[in-house]
Amino acid sequence: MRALPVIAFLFVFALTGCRASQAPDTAQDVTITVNITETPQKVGQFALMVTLLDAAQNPINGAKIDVTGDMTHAGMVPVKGTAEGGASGLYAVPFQWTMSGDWIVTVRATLPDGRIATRRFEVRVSNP
Amino acid sequence: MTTPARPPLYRPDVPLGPDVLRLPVIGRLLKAKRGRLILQIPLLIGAALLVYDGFTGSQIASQNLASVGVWVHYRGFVILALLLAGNLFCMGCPFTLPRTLARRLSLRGRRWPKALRNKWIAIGGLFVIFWLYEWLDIWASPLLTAWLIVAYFVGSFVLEAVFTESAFCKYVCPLGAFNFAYSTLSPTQITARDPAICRTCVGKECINGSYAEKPVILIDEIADGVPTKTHQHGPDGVLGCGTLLFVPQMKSNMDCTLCLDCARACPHDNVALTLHAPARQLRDPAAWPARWDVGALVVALAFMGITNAFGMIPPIYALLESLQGVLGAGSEGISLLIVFLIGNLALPGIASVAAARLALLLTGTRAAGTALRDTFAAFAPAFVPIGAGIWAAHYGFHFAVGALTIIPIFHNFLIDHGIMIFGGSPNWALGSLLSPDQFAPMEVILVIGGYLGSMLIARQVAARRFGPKAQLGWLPYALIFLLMMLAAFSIFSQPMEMRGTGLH
Repeated sequence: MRALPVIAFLFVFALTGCRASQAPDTAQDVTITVNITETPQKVGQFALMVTLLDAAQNPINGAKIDVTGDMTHAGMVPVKGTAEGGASGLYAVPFQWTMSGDWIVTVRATLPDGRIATRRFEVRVSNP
Repeated sequence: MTTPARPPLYRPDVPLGPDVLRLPVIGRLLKAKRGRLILQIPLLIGAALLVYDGFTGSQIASQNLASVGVWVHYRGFVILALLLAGNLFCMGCPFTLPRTLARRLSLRGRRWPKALRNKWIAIGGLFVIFWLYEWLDIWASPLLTAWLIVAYFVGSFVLEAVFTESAFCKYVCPLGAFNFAYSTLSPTQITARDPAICRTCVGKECINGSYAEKPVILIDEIADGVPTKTHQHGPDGVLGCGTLLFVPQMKSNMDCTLCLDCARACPHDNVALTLHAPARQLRDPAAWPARWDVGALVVALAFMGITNAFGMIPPIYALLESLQGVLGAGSEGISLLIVFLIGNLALPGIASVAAARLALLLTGTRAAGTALRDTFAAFAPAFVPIGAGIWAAHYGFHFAVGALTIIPIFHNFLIDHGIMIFGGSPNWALGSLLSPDQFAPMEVILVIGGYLGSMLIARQVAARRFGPKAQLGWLPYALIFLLMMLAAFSIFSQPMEMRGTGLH
C-alpha cells in the first residue's frame, strides 16, 4: 500500500516516453495568412478567410483547411471550421467567435501533396 | 458592551447531530487506517497526470488537463464540497502523501516559530497567488500550472521535514487557508462524543497520536488499585492531529484538515464527525478567536473574491491601461500589484477596521483596550457567507460552462498515447453543463444568499455585543455588505472575457 504513490508517479512519468508528438509541420515554406489579425474582431459568425501561398508566393488550391479556435482560458469549448478547394489560394472557413476575450487560432492546412502546414494566430475579440 | 464569558476548557455537553463516522459503510471506510488514501490516491494520480500533461502536453490551456483540471474542476468541486459536505479536499490532499515521507526523514523536535503561528503568512500567500495568477496568467498556462502543483508538493515536503507539526497546512498553504475559512460554513464538524471521557483520558491520543516505536500500555483510570481501562500504543498506531487541534476543545472547522487521524487515534472511539446546520459555526461566538489574523483572513478572502472576478471583465483593461499610462509601458505587473494591494489588502483592512470603530462610536462603546480588536474579530465571521457566495458564483460559472471539456481533452490525451479504446476522434463539442445565461440565475441566488447570510450573522453579532443599540452597531457592516453585493452584481452582470498572456 505504501508503494502505491510511488508506483503511480512512476507510471505517469513513464508515459512521457509514449507521448505521440503533434502532427509535424512538414511545409514550413508555406505562407498562411488569415483576415483576423489586422481588423478588430467582434463576437458573432463570419467567414474566416485563409490564404495559402507556396515558397514562390504562388497560391495553393486544393488543400484542406482545418481551423480551431481556443480561448486562452481553460474550460471553453473550442470552435472549429473547415474548408476545401480554394480559389486563388483563398479559402472561406465558416467560423464564429462565441465569447469576447483572447483566442488562439490554429490553422492546419493539408496540402494537395500531403504535406501539412500549421500556423497559430492570437486574436483579441470584443463584444459587438 | 457585554464581555463574553471565558469559554470552558472542554466543550460543554451539547446535543450531537448524526455522526457520519457511525454510518454503516462510509463510517468504517473513513475511519479505516488507510481510509484517507481512498481520496488521496485518486487525487495524487490526478495531480501527477496534471503535472505530466502540463509539462508535456499542448500549451493551449483549453486543451490541457493541467489547466482544465485545476482552474475549472478543482476550484468548482472545492467550493461545492465546502458548502455541501466539508473540507474534503484537505482530507484528500495529495500534497500530504510525500509529507508523510518527509515526517519519516524529519529532524523532528523543531516547532514552527512562535511568531509565525498565525494566518498572516497564509494571507500573504493568497495575495501573492492571486497576483501571480493574474499577472502571469497562470490560468492560461499549463506549464505554470504544473509548476504551481510541483511547488505545493515541494513546499509541503520541505516544511514537514523540518518542523514537527503540519506547518504547511496550518500556517502556509493558501488553498488550505481558503478551505479552512469556508469550511466554517460546512454542515459537518469534528467533535467529542462525550467530553467527560476526554477529561479522564491519559494519552490524549487525538492530538498526541497513538504511534510509539515500542508497545506502551496506558491506564486511564485505577479504581481500587485495579486498572479499569487500558490501551496500547505501538508502531501500528497513527499520528495525532497535524494541526495540533484537541478534539474536545474544537469549536469550529478552522485549521481542521478533516484527516480523521484524531478519530483513528482515539482509543475510546470518542471522536465524531457530526452533522449540523450549515453556518452554525458562524453564529457561535465561542467558535472564533478574538484575533486580528483570523479575522483578517476571512475579511480579505471575501474582498479577494470580488477582485478575482473583476480580473475577468473588460473594465480591468481600462484600469490597467490608465495605470500603465502613469507608470510607463511594460508595467503590467506593477499595475496589477497596485490594484490588488488596494482591492485585496487595503480595502478590506480599512473597511473592516473602520466598520468596527464606527460601530463602537455609534453605540457609544468605549473603544479602550482590546475593544476594537474584539469587535473586528466578532464581526469577521459575517464576511464568510458573502465571500463564499461570490466565490461560488465565480467558480461555479467556470465549472458550469466548462465541466465537460475535460472529456474530449482526456480522450485526446489517451489518443496521444496510442490508447484508442474510446475511438480516434474526441467530441470537442462537449463543454458546458449550463450556458452562461442559464447559470446567471444561480449567480444571483448565490450572491444574494451570501449577502443575506452575512447581514443575518452581523445582526446577531451586533445584538450580542451591543444589546439595545444593536441596530447602530450593525449599520456599518450592513453598508459594507450592501456595497460588496452591488460590486459583485456589477461584475457578474458584465460580459466575461477570457484573457490570456500571449496577447499582452
